[in-house]
Amino acid sequence: MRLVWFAVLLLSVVQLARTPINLDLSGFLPSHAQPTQRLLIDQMRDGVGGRLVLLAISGDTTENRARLSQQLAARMQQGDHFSLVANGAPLPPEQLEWLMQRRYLLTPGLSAQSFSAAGLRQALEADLRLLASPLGGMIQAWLPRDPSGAMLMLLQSLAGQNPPVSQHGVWFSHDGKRALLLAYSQAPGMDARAQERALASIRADFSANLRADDGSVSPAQLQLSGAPVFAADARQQIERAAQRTTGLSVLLVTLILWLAYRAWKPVAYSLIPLLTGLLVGAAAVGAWFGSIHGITLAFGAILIGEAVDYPAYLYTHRSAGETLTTTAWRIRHALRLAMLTTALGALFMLLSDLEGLRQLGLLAAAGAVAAGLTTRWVLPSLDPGVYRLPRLPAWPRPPRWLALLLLAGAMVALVRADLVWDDDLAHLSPTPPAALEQDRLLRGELGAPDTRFLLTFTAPTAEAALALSEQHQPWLESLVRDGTITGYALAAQSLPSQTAQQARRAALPDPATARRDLDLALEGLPFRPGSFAPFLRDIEHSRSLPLIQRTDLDGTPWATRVDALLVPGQGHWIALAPLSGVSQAARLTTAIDQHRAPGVALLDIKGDTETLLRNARKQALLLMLAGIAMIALLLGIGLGSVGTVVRTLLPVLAAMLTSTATLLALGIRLNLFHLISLLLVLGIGMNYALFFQRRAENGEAAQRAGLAVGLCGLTSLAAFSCLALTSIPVLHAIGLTVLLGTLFSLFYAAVWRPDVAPNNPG
Amino acid sequence: MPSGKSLINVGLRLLGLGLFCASPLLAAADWGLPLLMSGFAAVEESRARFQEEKHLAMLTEPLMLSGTLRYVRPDRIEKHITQPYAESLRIDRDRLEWESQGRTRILSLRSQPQIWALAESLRATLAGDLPALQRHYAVKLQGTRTQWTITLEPRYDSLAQFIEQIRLQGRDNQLREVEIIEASGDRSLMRIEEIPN
Repeated sequence: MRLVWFAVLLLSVVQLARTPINLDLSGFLPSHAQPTQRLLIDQMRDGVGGRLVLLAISGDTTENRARLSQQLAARMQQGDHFSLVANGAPLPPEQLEWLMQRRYLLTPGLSAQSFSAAGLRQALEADLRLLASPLGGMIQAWLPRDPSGAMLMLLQSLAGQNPPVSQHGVWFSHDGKRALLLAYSQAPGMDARAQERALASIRADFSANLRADDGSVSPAQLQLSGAPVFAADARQQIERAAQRTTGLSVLLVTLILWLAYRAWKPVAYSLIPLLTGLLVGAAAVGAWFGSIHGITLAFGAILIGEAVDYPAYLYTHRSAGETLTTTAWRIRHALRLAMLTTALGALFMLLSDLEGLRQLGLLAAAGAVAAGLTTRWVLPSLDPGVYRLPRLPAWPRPPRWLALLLLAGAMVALVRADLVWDDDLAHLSPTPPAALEQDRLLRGELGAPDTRFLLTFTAPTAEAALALSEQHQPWLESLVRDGTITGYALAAQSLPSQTAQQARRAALPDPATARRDLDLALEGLPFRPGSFAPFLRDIEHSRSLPLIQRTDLDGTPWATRVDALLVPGQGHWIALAPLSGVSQAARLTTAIDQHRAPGVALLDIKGDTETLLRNARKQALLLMLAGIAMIALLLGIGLGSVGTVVRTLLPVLAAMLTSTATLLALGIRLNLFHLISLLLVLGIGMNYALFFQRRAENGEAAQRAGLAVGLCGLTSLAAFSCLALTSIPVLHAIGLTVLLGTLFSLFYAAVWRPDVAPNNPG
Repeated sequence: MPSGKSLINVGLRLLGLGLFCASPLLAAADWGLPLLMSGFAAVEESRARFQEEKHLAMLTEPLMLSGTLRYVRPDRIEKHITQPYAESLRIDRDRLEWESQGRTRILSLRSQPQIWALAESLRATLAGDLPALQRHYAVKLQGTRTQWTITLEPRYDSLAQFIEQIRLQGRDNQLREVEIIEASGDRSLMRIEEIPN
């Protein structure tokens, strides 16, 4: 037996060694999705919102903040964590010239009319006024090349509708107290570890610049915000809390086990089935799915935590002078049922839409079976040495009316609860509200899109998608004007469709016409003769310019923007328009409903994700109910009598119902993680009921059964109290649910345990 | 009979009289930037007509503009052009509003350091805010109280690349003329005539 066990362990280790671990959340998003869901998931995984880091430098003097902003941007640009860093510094001359040369292909809003004598006259008169205004100094240098102001229009279009204010050539907050920057990470938003490295590099770059040449250290501070920061912080917080609670609960469980056995060997051996289960479970997931999600591994470890109970049943059921092999043989039925019911409950998760849940199901099922088999066949061959068990007073039997009353109360609470579910993703995030508010303010100052709303323009080809978005740009402008949004960004602003470029190029007059019309337009105006020769040269040059392709943008800041905002789908392309400053979501959805154009849709990342989560949660509930039905069937076969099945299942179901009712009564609304936790309650409660249900042949056996359940209950309570005490929403939800579930399982199992029976069927 | 006390009184009165008589002389001797500035600082609101000529290298003849100016303490300036076209410009703290041909453009002065420095030459003078003026310019005063000239020269490079010198002329706390000489050689001259309240 040990040989088989070794072989299985070895195979598992080999399998695990070649199983990659996914650290992103993508496994908890549906894999068979409709195109919009697909897009939603892609956007969540590596869309614009998830990659955008907002930076604010505060403290020190304005000049120093501006200097630090420049130095930080320079360093970040040299590194390879970010594809784009912006701090409001003017474009370098070569990039300005690049734009200048292509302005007649890029700038929207110019037509053949703009280059006619009348159009030019109008532009030149406006130029005179501009020259006389305080803005005159800004345009003077460009005027000879660009009397129609195409470059200014282009720069404004690229800068967005509400660019931040600048001081000393870099972006600042309106109060002037913070220098602002934006960075776009190379790594997708969901890759929390890569994001962590990128953020660490920013912090290092910033501190490296704090020391001035004269040795003084600037008191300036850097604040980071945005989805990557929240993701990295959340991961760290969860990891830290998980480590702390794991450490604490291992300590407590070990202490309790030691107090029970007063010997180290049984304590140490108790871990063998658990570790075997985890190893085999993870390997099974790796073999089936090809990879395993980090989160599956974490939850899986919690889920098969009940496997630590199996050895306790073995060790506590040993009678004086009996070999463990005999004990294992005696409790084999209960152990088998415990193992199979857990496996069955978990296996139903294999039908889930979420790969993460499917993995979790397989891990828990395989793990439970492996742990059960190890307890049955391997543990008895390991000599635990001499240990003695404490004699506990007999379990009190709480009166049935109390249990019925409690159950009835729970039912009432369940029926009356009007708000049972909570699908708000924000409630699962450990990000403090103050940080979210800071993020909102910073986003407003920077005019950066919020992470929630995107407009999508879907068409068969990239070119068609660009053209579609261009076609609706006037409508977007109208949304800005009426205040529904404060701004938007489009790939077409940096890479207009070929059609648009062609039309703009065709609108340029031939040299002779251009000269004639310009002369006509200049008549009577005080411009020095020949002032606009560069303009005529540029027009002529632009007429033969090749159209701008995506590859022409390589090496410019606009490449990143186009790649982020023009994405391929399955058999189609999507141009995305992230929206800024959506103050009322309802107003936006109404505007879009009214616009009703084919290919144009709104992607509400938060709302749509919550819908996905809600569907997953509903499905998980159905699967759980199906699992319970199958377990009842299995118990029917295993236990042979309907009465016993009812007596075994009743405490478990009562415990699950009462725990749920208690959560609701505490004002907690339920999510997917509570459901997963209830699955664990099912497993644990079933074990208690099964071992209590074993008809004890005598008082000694009843005492042992009581001790086994007491020991298992105590360890579960200790471990999950630690989890319930954390402030991380997900961990807290699991801890509290299982804690309550364990308590009520013990209670109901004690109520419905049978009297000492004369014969022993097991 | 004059007592000792009344003698002191008389002495004090004489001294007071002497001080009173001497004050214009003292003031004349001490007249300078601080006093000129405090004169401006006393003005809550003022209105004026202006005529402006801009000599630009690109143009064969100067642009001639005229209209009205309005200043409200401490940081509001309005410039309404009435000839040869209608246009208005309002500065309120950091915000510049430019209304021309039915279109209003708003811009933050802070994001346009050169325009800000230019606007400050006028605003800080009218507000009597010497420190604000000195933040951007080296300030020099010449002449007398009734005929003075303030010369402003940029204190930092980025401004010097744009402006060579600004000359403000006036009488008492009234600004009469503003001349801006740009580094490019372009210059503008604005004559101002106060409209009494």
